[in-house]
Amino acid sequence: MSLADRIIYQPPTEKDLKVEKTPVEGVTCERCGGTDIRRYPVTWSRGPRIVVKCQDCYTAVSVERPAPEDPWPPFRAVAYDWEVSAAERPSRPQPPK
Amino acid sequence: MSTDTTQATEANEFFLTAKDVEDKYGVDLITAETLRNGLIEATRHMYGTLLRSSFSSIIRDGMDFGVCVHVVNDDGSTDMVGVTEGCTQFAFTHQQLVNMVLDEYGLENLGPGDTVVTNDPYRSGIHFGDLNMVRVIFDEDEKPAFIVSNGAHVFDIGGSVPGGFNHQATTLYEEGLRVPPMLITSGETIVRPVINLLVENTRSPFHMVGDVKAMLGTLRAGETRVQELIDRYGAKSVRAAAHYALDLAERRMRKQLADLEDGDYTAEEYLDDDGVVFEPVKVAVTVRVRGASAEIDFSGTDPQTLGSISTCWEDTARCLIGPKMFLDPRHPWNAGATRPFDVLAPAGSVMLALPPSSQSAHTELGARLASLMLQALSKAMPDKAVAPDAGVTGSIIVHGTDQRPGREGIPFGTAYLCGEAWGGSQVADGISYCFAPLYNVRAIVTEYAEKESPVIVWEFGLVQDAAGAGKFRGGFSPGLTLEVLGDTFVTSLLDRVRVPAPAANGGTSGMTTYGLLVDKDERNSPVSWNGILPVDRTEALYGIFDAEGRPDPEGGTFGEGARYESCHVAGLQVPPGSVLRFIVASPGGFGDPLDRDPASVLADVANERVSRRQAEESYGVVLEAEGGSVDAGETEKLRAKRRQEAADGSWTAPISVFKDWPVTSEEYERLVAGAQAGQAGKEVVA
Repeated sequence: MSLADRIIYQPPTEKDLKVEKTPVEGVTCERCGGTDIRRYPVTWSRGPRIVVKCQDCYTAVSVERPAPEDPWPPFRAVAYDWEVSAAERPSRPQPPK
Repeated sequence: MSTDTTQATEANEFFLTAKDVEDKYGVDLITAETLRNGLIEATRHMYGTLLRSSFSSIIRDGMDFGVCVHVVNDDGSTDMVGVTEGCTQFAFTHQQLVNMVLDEYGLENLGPGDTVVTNDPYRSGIHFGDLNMVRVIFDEDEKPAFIVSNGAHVFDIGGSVPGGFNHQATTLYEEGLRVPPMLITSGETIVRPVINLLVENTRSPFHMVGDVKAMLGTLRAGETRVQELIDRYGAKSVRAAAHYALDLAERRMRKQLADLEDGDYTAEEYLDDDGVVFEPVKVAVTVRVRGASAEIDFSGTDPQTLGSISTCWEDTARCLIGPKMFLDPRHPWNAGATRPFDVLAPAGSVMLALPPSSQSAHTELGARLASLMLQALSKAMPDKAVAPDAGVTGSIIVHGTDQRPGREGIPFGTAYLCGEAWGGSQVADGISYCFAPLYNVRAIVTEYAEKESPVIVWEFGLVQDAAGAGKFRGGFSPGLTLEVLGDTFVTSLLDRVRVPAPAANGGTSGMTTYGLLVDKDERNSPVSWNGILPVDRTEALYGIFDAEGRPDPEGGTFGEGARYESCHVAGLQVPPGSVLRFIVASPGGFGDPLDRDPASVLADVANERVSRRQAEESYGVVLEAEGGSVDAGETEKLRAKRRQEAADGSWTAPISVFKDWPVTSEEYERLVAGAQAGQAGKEVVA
């Protein structure tokens, strides 16, 4: 992984683009009993999320914030998880050194 | 790792009694309703403040802004609970933007009087020209309780094209200043390097200073109003009422979804091109309705474009204009209504371009999203189906340096927001002269535009025969004629030059978009007759023309005799005295034109909206020789003939356009003289 991983990308070469839905094994939908359960990225009300949903009735098994290994959303600031500087929180108590 | 459970709301929980409200939220129904409206009212005060105090005409007159109040949830996420917008799109983007900005900047890093600014489309901003500001409101325990935010379109943010809409940009680096989230006020004081950064990277520094201060003042006005509610009712009650308001909107939306038949509803649309590669660009959607939830999936949409019509995140939020318009159009919008939807967009597609993709001409994709979503949802609700709007922004951006006496050297810029029109519905003709649903801004006041910028607005009016025909025809989009009085850069935010707007249920498409340069007549006027000008007094910039230069969207050739292969022209430099004319595509009609009430056709002819020729060719309505009444017998015979021809496939109503478009000025003079004598279009087509 480089600093530029989520800052710049090559444009896609595929013509036919679709959201990849990764199968999740061993899970059964509590609502309809379906076994085609998949995990994929969505835009939900409060921002980017990773859902696990039944593909028969589309009931959500889980809705979670993306993990660091999920490239979602595609863009992420380089300094997203860096230490916060004093200049960024001048009105708040400063973090201990 | 947190888990959101609100998606699991069951379809049987749509309505609450007063007792339910008190039990669930801890406030009585009257108080909950009072505070729900109080939070919306706070945004109305913000709206008025920004409208009165901004400097740029695009904010002050065009109302290209939105203002919002959000509640802070226990996990640090936020929900937009109230919004008032001049420009509708902010009502969709700010729920995403505030969550993304605070997730990155850290809510815990903000204190009283701190304001974060950003314009980044990759963080759910819209384009670099839209500044967005976010400010936290604290409760009596100094905990973040609410957020006020606003977004507004400043005239210029640098980049190689004045006004920022750079159709030919292939990367974001050519589009102006990108502002990641940063403090613009710290403890109520403006952070000097940040305002300097903004002001020193714009061609309109005076406007920028005024607009930024107006936006900051607007947030303070909003904070004051929300704080008054907290002081009177307590933060706990106000927050409880906010959640009541959010849940109410969610329940209403879920009820509407549950009433639909489960199914997959699809639609696709084509943008003309991206301004760099001259090929149509497909946008496809599948709306999967299951119970009280839906997935909106843009898989199948074309890859991101080289030119700047792609968008970077915002359209995964802006697409919810479709459900808003179709499913719950009357209830005040808030984040609760967005909970039933998961939006899927393939990374690297036009809907979700990857950095460093350009994106400044986001407007046309946004404008088209509403018509795309309406087409998909019309299949789910055939009893409410409509012909969509034209799906075009309809804005002309002019910039330059003023040379009028007393104003020498002063930068000017204006967006002449002329808009488009809406399609026919099952009960009425489409609305003329309005804006794409996602924008819904206001046309710039002509007198102000002419005072502040060296332009003359010669004409703003309909083009005869342009509206798509139908039992209920489409509205008429405007034609705009502008003269520039100084060296000026002109950018057009248009589309639908190649592909006309779709009709519905047997209606026909409306006229496509055109761009022209116009020579004035011997009276030194470029004004048309009902939108019609002779070919020999115009130079084609873009459009579909026949071999003699007449607009002909059905039988003509795209680009025939035209200067450009696309309407996505940015920064066109034109000398003083140039007269430009733009005809915005008109939307389609709803239902068979042969079923239109002949009296309505007669009224359109009398009002010079529809020619006698179109009355016969498209509607099968024959008027008496004097034109004052319908010849009922001949109309009945002609309609019967047309219906038979339609049944055997030998006739369809044509795409709407004025068929007797004059080539020479002499033909034009005869047309106008004939019209004035009440003889226009007397020729009867068999």
